[in-house]
Amino acid sequence: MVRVTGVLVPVNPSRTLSDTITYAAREAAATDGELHLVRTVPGHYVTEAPPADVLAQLEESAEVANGEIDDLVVHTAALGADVYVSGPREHAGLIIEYAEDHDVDRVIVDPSYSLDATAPELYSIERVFRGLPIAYEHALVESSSRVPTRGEFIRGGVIGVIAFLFYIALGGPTYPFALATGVVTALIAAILLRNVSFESTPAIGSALRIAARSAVFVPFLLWEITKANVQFAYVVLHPSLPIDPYLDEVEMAVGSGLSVTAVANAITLTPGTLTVDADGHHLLVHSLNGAAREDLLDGLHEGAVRNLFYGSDAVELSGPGERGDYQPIAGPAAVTDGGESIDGSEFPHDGESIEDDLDSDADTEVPE
Amino acid sequence: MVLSGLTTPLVVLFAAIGVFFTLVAAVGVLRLPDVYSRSHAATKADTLGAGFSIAAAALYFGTAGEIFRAAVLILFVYYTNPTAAHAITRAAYSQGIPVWTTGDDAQEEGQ
Repeated sequence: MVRVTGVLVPVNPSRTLSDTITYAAREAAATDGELHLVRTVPGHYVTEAPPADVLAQLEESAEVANGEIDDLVVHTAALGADVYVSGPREHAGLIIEYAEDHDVDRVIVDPSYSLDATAPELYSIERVFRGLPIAYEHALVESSSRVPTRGEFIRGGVIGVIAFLFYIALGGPTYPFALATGVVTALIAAILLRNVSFESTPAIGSALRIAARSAVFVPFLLWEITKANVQFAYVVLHPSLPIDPYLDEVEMAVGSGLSVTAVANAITLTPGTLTVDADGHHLLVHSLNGAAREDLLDGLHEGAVRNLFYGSDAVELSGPGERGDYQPIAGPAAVTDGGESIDGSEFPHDGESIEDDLDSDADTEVPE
Repeated sequence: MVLSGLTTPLVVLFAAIGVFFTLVAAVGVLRLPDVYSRSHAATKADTLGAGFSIAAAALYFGTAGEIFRAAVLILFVYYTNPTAAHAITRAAYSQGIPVWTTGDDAQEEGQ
């Protein structure tokens, strides 16, 4: 079998995308290779199928490539619709996996490629590629055009309106000078933050749905926070200080930065659990006692956030405990004497997934 | 601003609850064994403590503008508190500070 060479282009809407595809198509044709157009899709999990607009985007990109080189073989793929990804590293992982499976030898990156609506300078896949076994190059395209895209206008507009309303609501000015300063302030906010504040260009439908579901989520969270405080007060004021801490790495079934942040903060605000670190959708969670850990592993927080972002269909998923998506790192059974503990089976002491596992015995400080 | 018959006890009650939970937070920071569990104290009890104190202030002033400002204050406390906790514990974890567990306690008693 003759091995064909492959050129891969990660696709995401940008002002230089079609130039990049044209360039990559020419490069692929020059080496008698095939062109792979792939797009990573964060945040569409309920149906486990890529959304229609992503497929349309890929279709359109393939037409651009075929418009340049007629008989070029173009493959398109939407990656990650059935798994949860968050953050540049996990997106890059999907792309690399695809590249390995499809004999790709060159990766050509759009100079203004960004994973989502965030400015590439803040959240760049190149920074991740640099540390990984993959060769990439930038497409040689003119990126001098500074005309804002439609998405930038929408995001900037939404930020501007929110900032202006906030200004008015907070200060309550009605005289013209204050309104004028409000407009100027809102404009500055809109221009500076158009590629920072949103992960995706807001759409009215999904924004309304999320707002409606917040009406359930916020009271739930407030109630859990109140419970957290009462339980915490009991634990702290109890003479024998009944705590039993655990540390677990938990893989949350949510994708995209916003939903991971929501889970992480919900965990921190609710009974006896605290998010220590986040790496993609893997959270490192400290639990003050076994009951709090049960809630966490039963998916109390995860379920609430899934409901908020993905709708009630998404709640039926079992919690991370039942799925086995967690890795104990420290806990009462993992007695810090080298892993030989009474319940050693319950805590396989190999939780070195996020960072260095905590050193076990020698330097364990015994608190006063 | 003259307080009506009902608001005074409510303001006092909210302020008292706020002070109680803030006190619990302080006691928690002192009593808990390590940086991770102390962060629980600093985030949780404080959140309700601040919430009730701000609610008491909003009730005391009672105007729409003050209530809105108080609500925004509470919202920002709820956003920033967990963020600060992540920052502190994450720094601690990356420095390799061990997590205190009841196993450590048993060891201590055994010695």
